[in-house]
Amino acid sequence: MLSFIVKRLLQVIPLLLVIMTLTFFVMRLAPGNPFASERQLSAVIQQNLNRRFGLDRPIFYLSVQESWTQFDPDGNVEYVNRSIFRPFDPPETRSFALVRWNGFDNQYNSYFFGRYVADDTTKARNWEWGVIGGNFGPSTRFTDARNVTDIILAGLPLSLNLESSPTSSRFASGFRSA
Amino acid sequence: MSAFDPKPSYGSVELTPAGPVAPLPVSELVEGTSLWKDAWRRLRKNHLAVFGGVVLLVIVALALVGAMQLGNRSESPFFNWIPDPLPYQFDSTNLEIANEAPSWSHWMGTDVLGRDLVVRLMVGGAISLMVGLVSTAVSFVIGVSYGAVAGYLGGRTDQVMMRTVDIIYSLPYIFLVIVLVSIAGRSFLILFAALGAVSWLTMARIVRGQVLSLKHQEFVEAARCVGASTFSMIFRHIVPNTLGPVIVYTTLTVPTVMLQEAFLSFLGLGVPPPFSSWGTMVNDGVVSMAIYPWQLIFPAVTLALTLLSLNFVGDGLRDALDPQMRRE
Amino acid sequence: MTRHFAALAAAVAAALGLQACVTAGAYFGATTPPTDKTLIVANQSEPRSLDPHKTAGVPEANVMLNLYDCLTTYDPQTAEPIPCIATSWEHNADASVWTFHLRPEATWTDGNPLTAEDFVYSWRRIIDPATASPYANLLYYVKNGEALNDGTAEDLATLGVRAVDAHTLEVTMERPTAFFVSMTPHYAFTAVPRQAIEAHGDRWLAPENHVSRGPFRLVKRTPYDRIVIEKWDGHWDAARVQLERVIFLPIEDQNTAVSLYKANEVHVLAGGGQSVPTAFVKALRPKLDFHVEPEYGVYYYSLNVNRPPLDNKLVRRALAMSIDKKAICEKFLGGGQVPAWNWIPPKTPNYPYPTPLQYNPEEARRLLAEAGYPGGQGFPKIEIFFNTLESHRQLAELIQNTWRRELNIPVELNNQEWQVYQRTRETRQFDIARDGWIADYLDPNTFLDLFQAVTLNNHPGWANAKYSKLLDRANSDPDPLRRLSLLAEAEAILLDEMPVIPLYYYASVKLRKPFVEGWGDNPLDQNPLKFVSINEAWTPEAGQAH
Repeated sequence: MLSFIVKRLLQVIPLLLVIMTLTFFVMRLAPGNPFASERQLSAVIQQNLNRRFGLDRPIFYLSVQESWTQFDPDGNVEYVNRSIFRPFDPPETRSFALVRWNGFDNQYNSYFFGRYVADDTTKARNWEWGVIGGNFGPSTRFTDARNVTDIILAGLPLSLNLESSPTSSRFASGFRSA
Repeated sequence: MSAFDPKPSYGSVELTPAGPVAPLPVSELVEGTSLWKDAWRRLRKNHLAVFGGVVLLVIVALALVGAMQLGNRSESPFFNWIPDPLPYQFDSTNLEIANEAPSWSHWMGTDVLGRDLVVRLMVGGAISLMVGLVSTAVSFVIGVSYGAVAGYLGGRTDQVMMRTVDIIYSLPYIFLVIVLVSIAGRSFLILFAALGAVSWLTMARIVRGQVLSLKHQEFVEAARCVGASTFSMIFRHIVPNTLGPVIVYTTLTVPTVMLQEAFLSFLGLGVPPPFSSWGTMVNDGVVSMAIYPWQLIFPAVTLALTLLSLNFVGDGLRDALDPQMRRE
Repeated sequence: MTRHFAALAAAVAAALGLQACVTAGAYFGATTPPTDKTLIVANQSEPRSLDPHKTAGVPEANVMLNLYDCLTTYDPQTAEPIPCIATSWEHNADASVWTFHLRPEATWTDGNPLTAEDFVYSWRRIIDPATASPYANLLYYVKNGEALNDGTAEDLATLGVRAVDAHTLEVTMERPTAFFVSMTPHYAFTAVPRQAIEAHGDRWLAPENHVSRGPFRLVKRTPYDRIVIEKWDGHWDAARVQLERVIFLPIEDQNTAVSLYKANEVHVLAGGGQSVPTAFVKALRPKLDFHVEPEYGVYYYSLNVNRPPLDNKLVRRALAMSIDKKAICEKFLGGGQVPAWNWIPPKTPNYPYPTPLQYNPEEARRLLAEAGYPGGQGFPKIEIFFNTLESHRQLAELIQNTWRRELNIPVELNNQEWQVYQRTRETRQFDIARDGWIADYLDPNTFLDLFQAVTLNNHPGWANAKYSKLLDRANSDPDPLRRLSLLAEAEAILLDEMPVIPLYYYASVKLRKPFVEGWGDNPLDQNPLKFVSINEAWTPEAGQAH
């Protein structure tokens, strides 16, 4: 019995990965965008927002890059990044790197399936794991660049603690809409 | 869920045990051999089912009258010769009589734009029933075939097929519909297909479960012995035996799909305005139910009545079709 | 489906319950003033951010207005700019260079003095495309603002803002902008704390790192629970501030907000627009703590003037004149909205409103016949586009039917998702499109500017040389009254040409406890809390006498 339960639980892991991936693509394919609201944003501002949150990048793009470090004329450290293999070029040359040689990168690379595998929009380090590493990237809901993981962790004790509050239904509905 | 008799329901005439059979009048012989006639006899004895059936017939008849106005207004020469029997148009607004309570001239009152609710309910009925029936048919066909094949073949095939169902289950289904509708464009046809394509999952699981419990029974073994093909095994011998719960679930799918259509209409992906459907009418009615309750009550009651009737009929059908009942 | 039903049942129960509870009495619910000088505000939704450069929402604005003083602030009664950080300002002859004199005693909550350099830093930050501020477009009036934001210029130092000395800020405009000061209370023009942003990066908004400058400071922020701000004693205007503490609750469900208000657990429903469910408006109207005020915004239909038959002015006027806007506002909307015949909403100080068209279906039919479509004969099918929302759909259905009835013309409806819809409007792939414009600052220019040239926001694609010239002349005119009469002349041209059909002016619908004082119902719906107080001695009797 125990082995059956363990086996079923283990089966869940690949299932979750597939679900996550599919959901990611379905979300990207669907019309709309997190900044769609009643207030109309001009095209320029929309484009700036899309760029900031990595929404301007094509869903799939293959690029093999090399990067190195050098000193610029003022003596500052400079990271240089060059694409050496790019079989199909999207109209905008910012995209996801499938394979990279080096840990350093500029802000337009290190994406594979959006922020599915790797993510750099948090900018805390040059490169971080993406969704499969448990990093859900910056929140488009809280635009002051709070990390989605932080929000989930901050909300968790609250939603586990509902009974202690007299106005608990309010919290519950709030959490649901997160 | 009721237990199922190991005996074959039909299609296994070869297996009728040989032996001395008392001669019977021809008329009785004919009567006794048809499953459907037998079922019909039982159904008629079930008062609730008869009540449900009558209510459904009335609702369908009224919806057909509503459909006549749609035909009359249509631009297609195939339909626009149809006379319009209704005194009001479903889309004619008049703010002077907006939000009027039920009266002799407007039996169910008017909506926020002063449109007669009876007419809107009838026209909406035509659309809602069509959405419900067609989408359910789509989900019935996909769900039953998928579940039966997975359950019968078993093993690895079953694993892969059912995990696929799990995955689709956990995707936000309404999102799938939105993607389907927004990619393929907005039309009634796409709406049917999209709703049907997401509501077959539970059906597939139910059918698979039934098939698993049926496939090792004697009549299946027997059919296999006489060399029935896999296709005929599944669809001729096994599927008819799963029909009881399947029919009940189907009758439940119809109202579910109708509510989902309401949600899609709410998102602007369902029935295009100014056409009405029961779902959109309920949605509109909720907004103002505190002051104009009739705008919610009539469409909600109609929807609930349809749902109940479908359930009664479904229950009656299951009882009538259940092979075990035939022995009593 | 079960969830759908459960939600429905809950909504029914809530609404019926509340409806039954709207009882007799001059006020709605309990009116006992709190004694701890704490105001509790229902704030619609959880703010996306408290960084003034990263948000454009109303709930955010309600909080930030009290955390970051701007050059000027809103007069609570009229929404006109009054001195705040800037004690005075002047501009040159054609209003192309503005100079603001800053209050020397103003400091940040960390003790650093507030200088003109802080504003220069902030304005460069908001215009920087990397910041991706949704309100960057307000700074397009400043020299080089647009070019920097869309990436055609890169050196942020070329933005037309300069610190002459520590307390003098000089702003060079892109073109003469006589109304600039009316924009300066907006939080897009505030200053953000460079020291905190550079020290903590994106974490500068955490309460422990947060540095602000307003009459209140951020004490606690729990997402989806509450935001607490408290009076800051170091503020230059602290003597004026009466409230000790303000709590903002993000309550998205209007029924919940109304129940909490009734129980006196919330004192004000804020958040702009309709904060009370329409269904309650009728029942709540007689209550003394219920307030309806027209907002500075207009709901309208854009007519694509480049497509026949809407390229014909007579047709556009006929369409406009056949709509009974009064009936729409009173019988359909019913939330205190005002029928819109003018383009500029009411309550613009000193503005001489031009005389608009009137509702006249007879005249509309005559105009249509004059345009070559007698009795609607031969009128091609036109389509109304709107973004998906129940109220937009119902109004479109109403207008579709009105035009068919009054003018006998065929109209179709087409709704689209917001993103798709935006593209439709910007590329003008429509005949008629629903539209709305809510002002960010109190000046007719914010409405008239839409048609200055054929830009993305000019959805009808209408342009008129005389109109543009009038606007240019007005905005470089230093005399405010003469300027307003020039703007009115421009509006008269617009009303004559009718590239847009204004339908109604938005209204804000509010509940506010009678003991909350100093809250003005101004057309921008902006209320700095430093003017607000709680009258602890308030009693219903005193209220009645008042």
